[in-house]
Amino acid sequence: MAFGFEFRDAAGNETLTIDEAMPRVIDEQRLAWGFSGTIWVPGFDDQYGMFYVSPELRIATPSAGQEWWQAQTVRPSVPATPFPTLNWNNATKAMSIAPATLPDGWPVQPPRFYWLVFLGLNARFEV
Amino acid sequence: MAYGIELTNSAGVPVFDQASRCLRVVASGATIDADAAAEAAFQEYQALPSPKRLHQLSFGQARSFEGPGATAMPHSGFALQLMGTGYPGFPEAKVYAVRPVFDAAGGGFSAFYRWTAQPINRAIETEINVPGVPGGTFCLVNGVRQYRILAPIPTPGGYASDYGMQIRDASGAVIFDSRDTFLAVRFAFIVPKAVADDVLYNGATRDVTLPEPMPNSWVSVPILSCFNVVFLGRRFAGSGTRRIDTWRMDRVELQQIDASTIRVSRNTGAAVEYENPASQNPQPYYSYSHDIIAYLARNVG
Repeated sequence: MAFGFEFRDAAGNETLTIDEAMPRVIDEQRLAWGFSGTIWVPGFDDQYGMFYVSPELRIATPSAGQEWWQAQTVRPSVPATPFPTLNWNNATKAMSIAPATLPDGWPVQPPRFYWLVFLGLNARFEV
Repeated sequence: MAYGIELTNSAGVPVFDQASRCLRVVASGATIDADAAAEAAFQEYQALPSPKRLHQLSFGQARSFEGPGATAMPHSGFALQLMGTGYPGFPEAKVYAVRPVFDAAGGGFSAFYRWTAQPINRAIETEINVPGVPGGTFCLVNGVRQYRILAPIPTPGGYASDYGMQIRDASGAVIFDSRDTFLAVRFAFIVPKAVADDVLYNGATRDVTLPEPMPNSWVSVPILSCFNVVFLGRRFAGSGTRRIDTWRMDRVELQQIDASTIRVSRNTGAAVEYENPASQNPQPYYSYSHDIIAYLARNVG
């Protein structure tokens, strides 16, 4: 090592180098699925981090008479959920959030809440 | 910084920000095969005596089942797990789910997976907050693959030594402990929805070039659920009231194809037959795509 620091585990493996930052949770917020508005996360920099949505699980209860239909569709069905639209402004540290809309034919209801998690890490690159 | 020691890396970025909890490895192992588990669950559900009622969890391959009344539902080891009993309106319900990759109290968990020969075409991390069901983080991915779960401090320690370095925030809470095991998360990237759409609907392939070679990397995809249900045809059977549709589900999948490249491509699903009950409207066909967020960690050890 020419300069700087390095962290190693008991086996001698480098766990943190001079070119890295520790992954860490900058912020996490629980939001209603239909939330519309802006939140601010002053400590987050999208050049050195990334955010993601973690939906809360809910149980979709079929009404009476739907049991058989549901049973038939369970095998091929892999439901998901529409996600809210997120726009991060790195200058103002503001995240504007527009709620999801359900596409035509959408088979399940969205969850009631989700977590928005901001992770700090080494770097982000563009695709 | 008003006080303390600031440690910055070669990019001039703080390694610790003195306020945020660091992510450490809290669990590791191998996932189950979600497809096999789901199929086993489906077969077990079919074996239930009528009337039977099914409750479907809204994400991933997770499914729960409710046996009628006090009837216990059979389950076979890994395939189904009793998650709890009773929820509003159905106090007698027995709630089962295909066993998650990881299930623990608390939130903020991130699952990282090892690449295998099988591309990743769906993944989910979701917080369980259902009455009667143990809370926690539910992570699921297709295929059998090695995983490591990261969670922020504080989590149960169990340290074998009493030396090292700790960093505390202004309130005195530990945000880093050198005795923990870490996964070096180096990069994050987004595959834009437009790219995912091109892959999903047009069969395009997109190669993502990594900033540096990362052999044997670990990947975290908190949500990957880009799919398109394609209607292939309909035939009638019996007296004409049996409507049998044929369709397939295409997916967007990710695969590391060499040390410096991750490929985004389409997985074309197999044709599936589905019989529409006469009393029901035809199965709706639907699709969905989204920005795909991925985290990459280099392998340690």
